[in-house]
Amino acid sequence: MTIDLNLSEDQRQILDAARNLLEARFPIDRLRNPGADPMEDIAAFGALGLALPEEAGGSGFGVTDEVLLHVEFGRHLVTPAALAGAIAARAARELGLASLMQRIIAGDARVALALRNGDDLTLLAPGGAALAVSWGAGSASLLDLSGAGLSDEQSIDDSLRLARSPADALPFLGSVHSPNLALLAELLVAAQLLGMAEATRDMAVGYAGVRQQFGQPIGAFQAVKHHCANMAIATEIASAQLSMAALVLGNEQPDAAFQVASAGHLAQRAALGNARLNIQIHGGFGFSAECDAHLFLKRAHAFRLAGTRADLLAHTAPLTHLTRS
Amino acid sequence: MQLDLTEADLAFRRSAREWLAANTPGEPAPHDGIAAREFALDWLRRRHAAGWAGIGWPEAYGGRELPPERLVIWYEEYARARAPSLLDPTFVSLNHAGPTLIACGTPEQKAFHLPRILSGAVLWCQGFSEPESGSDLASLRTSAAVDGDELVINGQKIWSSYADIAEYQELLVRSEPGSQRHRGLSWVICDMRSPGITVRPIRNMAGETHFAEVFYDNVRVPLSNVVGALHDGWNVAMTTLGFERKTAAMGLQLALSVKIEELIALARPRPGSALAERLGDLRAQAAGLRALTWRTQFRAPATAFDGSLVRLVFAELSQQIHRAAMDILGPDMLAHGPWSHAYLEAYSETIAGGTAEIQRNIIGERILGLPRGGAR
Ligand SMILES: Cc1cc2nc3c(=O)[nH]c(=O)nc-3n(C[C@H](O)[C@H](O)[C@H](O)COP(=O)(O)OP(=O)(O)OC[C@H]3O[C@@H](n4cnc5c(N)ncnc54)[C@H](O)[C@@H]3O)c2cc1C
Repeated sequence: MTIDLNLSEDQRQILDAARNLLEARFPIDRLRNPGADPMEDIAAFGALGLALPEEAGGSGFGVTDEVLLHVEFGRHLVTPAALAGAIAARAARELGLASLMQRIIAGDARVALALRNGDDLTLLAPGGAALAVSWGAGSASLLDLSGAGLSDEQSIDDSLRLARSPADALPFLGSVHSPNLALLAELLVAAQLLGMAEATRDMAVGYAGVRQQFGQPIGAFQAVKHHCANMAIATEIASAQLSMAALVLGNEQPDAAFQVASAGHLAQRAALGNARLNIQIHGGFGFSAECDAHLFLKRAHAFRLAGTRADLLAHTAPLTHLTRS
Repeated sequence: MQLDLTEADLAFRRSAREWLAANTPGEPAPHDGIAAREFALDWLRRRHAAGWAGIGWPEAYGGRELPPERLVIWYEEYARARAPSLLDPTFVSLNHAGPTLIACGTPEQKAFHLPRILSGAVLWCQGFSEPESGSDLASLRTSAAVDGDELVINGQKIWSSYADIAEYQELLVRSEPGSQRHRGLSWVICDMRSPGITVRPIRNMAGETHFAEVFYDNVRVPLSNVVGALHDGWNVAMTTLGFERKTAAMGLQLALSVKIEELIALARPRPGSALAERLGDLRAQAAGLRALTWRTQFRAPATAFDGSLVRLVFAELSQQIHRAAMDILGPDMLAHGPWSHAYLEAYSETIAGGTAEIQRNIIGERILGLPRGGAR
């Protein structure tokens, strides 16, 4: 038996390619002059159909690969439209809307991410979007935005725009019952949150190593060092669990719902906790808009709202899984 | 990343499960003294007779040389069967002294000690900490003077678990006079029945007496009992630092999961309540710890400090679980019982084997590369 949660050679290659693209086209400082992220680049990379089969126009990779890609997206605070597109492409496929799926994968049909709030919807990244996707308890829905004439508001995060609408004002393109798709959406949200947790850990550790006070780097002070250690711990445990959940979901094991819920929970904690400590470690600069720290906090909030708050007691927790029944 | 399961693995799991179901002791383990010794050794002897002791050890020394994934299955089944805690009087011999001898011992040392350890003939304890040297272990002062083909040991150790009921001690001493810090130490096998040794048991806050002070007054130990090179004891100690928890980590951690499930069954929290959230959080953390343990088992090359992370997450999760028990059981926790006992015991988790503060220093400095601070 093996449960190997380390990266394979292929996975390293995809990651390197993704990192090169993201470093070049999506550096964090692009967010200081907000404009919509170039979805063409994301689509050209194959990100929106990464784990769809090749005969369906996808790239034929696995869930574990897709998860890694979204961790990188989280690190670079890539627009939520990328996550929305990846989920919407699958929903379109399951609904039999083949040409819509093709347009989503190609980046021609932009997708907004719809967050439900009672009878209302909040759409993230609505600019230029033709449709929106939302999911919840075992299903996913596509909403038509073409005739909506939506408002487009600034959010608390200058780099993220939003629109609000009563849910019944937006026509359904279709809704599909698909527990695996809903779990996958949760998993990709967790992946993006983990990416943010990793980025803020690295920012904090980097700053703690160079910022000098009392004649030494602040990272030599234990109060600061232990904050950093706590960021590393939260990140590592969330990262290991994310890989476990991706493996289990990819292999359609019976404990997938529990593993994904756990991954989501740990990733939320890591992303928000690390974002907060990162601000603290940067001192006055951390509170300023010139420091990128606040961007991670705000995005972590947005993505946390995109994930459901799963009831972790609702599923059986396996003590030993992989007892193939 | 991959996940595989073979028929042979399943067969192994079934045989472990069946054996444990038929053989796991039904009564709770005594906590200290001779009763604890006899219970632990008896349980080890039973496992040994059936081929379930030291299953990862080399065959030459009575083990089965099974690969890590089989060990994981064994430990999983062990926890599932609610078998006695792995942190019993045999812990040091099976998980620390034994592996150290396997890694650094001479053929004679291995041939003599390893079969005795595995078959449950003897117990070992660890004598590293001293009254003035705890976190700062490298400052230790217990001395060992070379006299012909013997070492003559003088000084004092403290917090040595089960020293009162063990035959042997892995003893870290300063063998090179005037040496500083990590240099000049030796790792020696000390027979606890040697003349000049006095053991004074110390009661702990949970009411048990399982650790002790040990005094050495001209205790003679043959030089052939030095493990590794003379004066190279620090390196020997470091070889097995990670072993202390790594091999058994999976089992210890699954035992925590079993406890969480027991608490959920006891508390039956209302969905959405604060208690449900708290127990759900514990479950998610246990799942994460399990994933982390899997990841570190198969990380190649192993990162030396992975152990600190797993260890710390384990210790703090254990404390959170027992605190939750305290809140759930209420006044019942004031009476003696398994939960109240475990609650008090859990305070040692962030102290023994390197405190939580020291583990965080290690994570900050060795994993994250932050500058070292102050005098160390
Ligand atoms: C149940 C139990 C069993 C044990 N069994 C054994 C055994 O079998 N054999 C053995 O040799 N030892 C054993 N120990 C001893 C254990 O290893 C030590 O207690 C431990 O290393 C801490 O040392 P100390 O008690 O001297 O505390 P100290 O080192 O004095 O620490 C006191 C406090 O200061 C903090 N501190 C110290 N240095 C630093 C620093 N640099 N940065 C931040 N904080 C710091 C510590 O974290 C702690 O909170 C056992 C301990 C316990 C509780």
